Amino acid sequence: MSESLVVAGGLARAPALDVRVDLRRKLQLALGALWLLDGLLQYQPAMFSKAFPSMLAESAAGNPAPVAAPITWSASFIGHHLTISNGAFATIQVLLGLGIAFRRTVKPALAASVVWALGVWWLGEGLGGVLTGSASPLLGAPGAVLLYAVLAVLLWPSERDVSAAFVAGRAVGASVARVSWAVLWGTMAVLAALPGSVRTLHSGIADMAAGQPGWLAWLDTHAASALSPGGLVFAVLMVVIACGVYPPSVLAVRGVVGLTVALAVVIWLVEGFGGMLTGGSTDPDSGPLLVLLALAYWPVPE
Amino acid sequence: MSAPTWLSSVFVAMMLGVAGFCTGRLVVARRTRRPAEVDSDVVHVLMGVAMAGMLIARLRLWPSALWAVVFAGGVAWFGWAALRSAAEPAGAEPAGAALAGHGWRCPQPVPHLLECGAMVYMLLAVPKPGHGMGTSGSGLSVVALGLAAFMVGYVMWLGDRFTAVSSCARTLAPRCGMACKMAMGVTMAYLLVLML
Repeated sequence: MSESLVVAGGLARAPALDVRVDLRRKLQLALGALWLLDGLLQYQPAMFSKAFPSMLAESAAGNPAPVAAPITWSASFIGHHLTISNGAFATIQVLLGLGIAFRRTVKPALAASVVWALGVWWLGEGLGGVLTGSASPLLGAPGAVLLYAVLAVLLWPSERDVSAAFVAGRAVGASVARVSWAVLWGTMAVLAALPGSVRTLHSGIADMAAGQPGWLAWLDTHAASALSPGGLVFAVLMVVIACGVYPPSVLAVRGVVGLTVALAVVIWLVEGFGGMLTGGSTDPDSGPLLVLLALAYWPVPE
Repeated sequence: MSAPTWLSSVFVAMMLGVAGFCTGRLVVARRTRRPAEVDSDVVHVLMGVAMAGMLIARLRLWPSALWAVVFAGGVAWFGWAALRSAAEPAGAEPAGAALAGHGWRCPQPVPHLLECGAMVYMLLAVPKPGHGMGTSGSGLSVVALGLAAFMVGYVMWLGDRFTAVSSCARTLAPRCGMACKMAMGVTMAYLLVLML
């Protein structure tokens, strides 16, 4: 290749590109990456088939009629306008991801992602199954897409509380952020302890093995046997996590955040990486989002 | 099951646009003697054309094996460049100057190394483009997912620096160049997702 394109003086140094990327920005970018990945997964050929509206309609099962009826209606509507609906859904998610990537559009993109996520939480995930009595946090409850909305709020680029010792507290204030954490994990603990959730845990995890690569199917099959008797243990663990952002000791909080990340990884394995390796998944499920959420509570030096 | 034709056409248009832009930038940079990332522009021209053929079979110019050899060459080139830049003493390259463009070599060889590697992987794993791209349920799907995740991360990283790049770049149309890299990353991630 010719070197004639080199400017006079050879490999002249360009001025440095100074782009500050703090922990909050890194988490925003990770959130955007998940939206972008969601969009690309939504472009999969399987999503342009009748399997997609059927999957949406299934989320109505077990929900109260006022919740289920709009789900059934929207699934039917999407089934009748499949190509344009799914194309639009995928494109919206790609744009949300790219919007978060560009610094000038991060606020509108995060705001839009909250609206979109809440809509999908209802019409696409049936409110994460929280009203069915059988949704387990080990299988994605209270709904991965709800976590997108929570993260968008907690990672909002404002400085309401500059003294907050963790990223999530900077946008909404440390107290509100701690309460949000406690409510989320407390809800997950309740869901994990519900009799319906405990009863269906084994079959729920075992079902995740379908269509997975051999090693992951083996893992999920064995996890179903190993973890299903421990539904209540997970509930207790989640209570500990729910209270874990309150201790004044930074070391204790870091320990709890580390525990949360470990649990999120276990959950993601149990979820079979959200079924992404099966070619029929719309998102990576709750595991990666729980990791991001935990990191937003990691105590950082002032 | 294959992707809708309109969707493939959109991605093909993007890829041919990237190939056209990179070709134009190479020509203009040569005529005006301005610096350009020659190696990355050349590889993006080739990738744009190759991916257009992977998306729509009738646009295939060369057999997959030949393309794989071409991109294996890219792997070797950018692998060497990555080793070279890793061996440079710390501080020799200003932090963040990576995207600015300062000569005829791309200052960020690692993403291009992985792009070329992903092309080789896709070309060898998908002998008949557009037909049965899926590798779901096999170990190959893990590789595809890992590469797709990298591409998505790379696109986000580029987007984060998009606004700042023009102020310190010496190459022609630096933002358009960055947008082309992002389009390339998104399209490659899409192709990899199709293999899941």
